[in-house]
Amino acid sequence: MVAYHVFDLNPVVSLLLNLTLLGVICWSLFNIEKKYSNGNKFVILGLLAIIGITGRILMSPIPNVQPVTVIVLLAGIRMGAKESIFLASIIALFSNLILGNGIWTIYQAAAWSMIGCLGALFSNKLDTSMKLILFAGISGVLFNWFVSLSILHSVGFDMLIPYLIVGIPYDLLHVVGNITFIIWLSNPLTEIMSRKIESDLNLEVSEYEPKPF
Amino acid sequence: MFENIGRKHLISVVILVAVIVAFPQINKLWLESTEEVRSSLITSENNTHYGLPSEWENTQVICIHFPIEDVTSNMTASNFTEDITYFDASGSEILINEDSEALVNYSEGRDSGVCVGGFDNYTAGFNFMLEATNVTNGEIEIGYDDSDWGPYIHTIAGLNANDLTGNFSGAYWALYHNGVTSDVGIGDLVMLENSVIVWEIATW
Repeated sequence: MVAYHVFDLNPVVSLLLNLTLLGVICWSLFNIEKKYSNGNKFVILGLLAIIGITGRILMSPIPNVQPVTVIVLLAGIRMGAKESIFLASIIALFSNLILGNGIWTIYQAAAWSMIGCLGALFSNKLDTSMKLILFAGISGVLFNWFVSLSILHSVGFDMLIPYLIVGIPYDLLHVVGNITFIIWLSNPLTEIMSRKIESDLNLEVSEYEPKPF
Repeated sequence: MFENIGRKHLISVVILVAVIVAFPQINKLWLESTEEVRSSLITSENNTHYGLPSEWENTQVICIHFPIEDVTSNMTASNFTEDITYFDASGSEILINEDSEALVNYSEGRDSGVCVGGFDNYTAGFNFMLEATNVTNGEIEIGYDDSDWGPYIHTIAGLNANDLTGNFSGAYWALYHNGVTSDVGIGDLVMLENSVIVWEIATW
């Protein structure tokens, strides 16, 4: 039987398809959020997690270029450390179900959490777009170097420095990717993250006993 | 939401695309220019891979250490009478260590040799030895006789142990596995994932 689903895609075409899919997902999610979200933090965290997971998976053909670092950084700055730790862990776990799970997952979750916490810590100081861009760039290197520590489980300390040196072009990719994402995502994500609950939901328990049928 | 797309947005995308497109070239240039720094040798003495290039850690390696010159006036056939030369699994020469004196603690006095490493998944010692030495395009030829106890190695890289003469009764190629004399011959040696096997001349 001819397997119609099996055909080779040019990597560039495949990447463009991924980016298109990511664009559609983000565009529709942003619009849905605008329409339905009342500023509930759980809804917003779920939305950010979906953007992070799909963004990381769909951009995986380009090493180290993904929106997660910027999402957790912005979450740390605009929402708080705990929120960014939640996002970091959920995104690392679920994206690695597709990309490959291993000891590095815990390092990635920890590294993104650390970046979110640093964002929360310096949220008052990161008040200009230039500072934010600089911090996003540094976060790329911080993340990569922290995750690189995971190789110490399989090789000796001697290998770490050569490993970090080999990784410097990949650090550069992460830095440039982060700078691009922070420029593009800072305003829309800040808008979503800073939305206050429009309290028109009645969450009070009714005083009346339900009537028996 | 994306209403305020300005020059900064477009420049960032252009730079990102440029870096991604140029990445293979950037990476290649970087690897070439940092080769010397990266090819450091493992310095931890309790590591089975002590003295070997750090990228070979936890891989299978074979080394042949040649005896010092005054023992081997007739070892002209060997190409490895000076320094220690390292070949990777594809047969490329990755490093020459000119400062290899007392490189490995159990080979005191042996300061020249050759190592081939970076292999994995070999289980049979003899098969590993033949295939690993074969990647160097004949620079390390192995000469052996089949005996009742398995293959008996008499010649490595042109140096026949039986031809050695000096202040000793006889000489042979001795096999070490991860730093200690191997209990079994190469024919029975079971490789570990981090096995370093070393051949060097021993005398009696």
